[in-house]
Amino acid sequence: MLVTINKRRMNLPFKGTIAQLLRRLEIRREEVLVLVNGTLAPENDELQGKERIEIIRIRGVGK
Amino acid sequence: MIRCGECKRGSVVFLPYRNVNLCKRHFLELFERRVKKTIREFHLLKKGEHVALGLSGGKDSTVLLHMLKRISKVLPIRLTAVTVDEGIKGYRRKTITDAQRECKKLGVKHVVVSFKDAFGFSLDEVVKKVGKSKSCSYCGVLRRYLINRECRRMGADKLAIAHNLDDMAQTVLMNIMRNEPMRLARFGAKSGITDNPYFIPRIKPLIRIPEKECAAYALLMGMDICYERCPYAPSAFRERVRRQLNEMEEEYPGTKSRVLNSLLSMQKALSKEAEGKKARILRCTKCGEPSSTHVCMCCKMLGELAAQAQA
Repeated sequence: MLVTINKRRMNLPFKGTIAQLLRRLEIRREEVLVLVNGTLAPENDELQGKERIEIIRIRGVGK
Repeated sequence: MIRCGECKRGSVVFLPYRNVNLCKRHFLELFERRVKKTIREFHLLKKGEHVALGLSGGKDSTVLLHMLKRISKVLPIRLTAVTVDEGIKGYRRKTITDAQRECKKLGVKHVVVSFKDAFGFSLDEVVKKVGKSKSCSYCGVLRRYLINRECRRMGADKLAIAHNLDDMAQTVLMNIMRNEPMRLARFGAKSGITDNPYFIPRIKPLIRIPEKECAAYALLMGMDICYERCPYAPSAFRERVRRQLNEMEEEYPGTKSRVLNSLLSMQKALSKEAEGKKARILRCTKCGEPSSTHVCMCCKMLGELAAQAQA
């Protein structure tokens, strides 16, 4: 599975939910949006291991 | 594929604090309903008002710009976006371009005011003098001063700020941890000093929207958002509180909302207490702007910077 985190790419064998993937990558789900094959997906969605995953960090630009 | 809890279409978001999955349509509807409810609940807008919006070009203020534009079709208000150019090389230019593009798209008047024009120096130059650790303190004071002055100049009745639920919950906890609870007396959906003509009242229609949902809304609405962070922000303390809160929210969904609701419940008592200790609002002897002391914080900071330049 190809995982992109803020434009940094990695190949990762993984099956399970998006929430489990984030936990494995030690990323807080409150701090990211996850796109599966280019579409926004909920954290309880199951991944089969062949998807293209993009993780976008959403931290604000500062107020 | 997980289905929407409302219509059985494919879900795009999961809201753990409601234990529900929603499709794009139902998420956008819920989002907009909650913003409108906040506006009604706290009486944030009135027909015919001139509302200035603090537009940084980031996701939250861009989402608020779109929401207020939509609302203005039902509740006639005059909307002007104000962007402060602090002068942060390699960062602010991009967000200003984004802000200009969104305003043009929506037909909203856009005003850019800069530190350089107002004070004669950029934030980058301030940081060179005072160090990175003090950047947020200087930036916050100078920005609030400038935006209040600009809003008054343009005759705005309100200043809309895009603080979301995460910002609110973080600030509540930070003030409690610093033992400064009275700062929370005027902190809510309406904030700032509301009974002085020199201060433009601030309104925050997004206080019930989690940051993550603002980002999801922006993405689903096709907004082109810059997710780069300000190189100077945020403070280490806020960052720590933010992380802790996110950890709590994951384990105990709804934590951020409960922190905000606790503040709103306590606010009546806090406001009553603050009333007795109400500081007189004076006019700064240097610049004429409103201040609780004879010289306002902005002029004090400008004085410190001038003294450092001479030393």
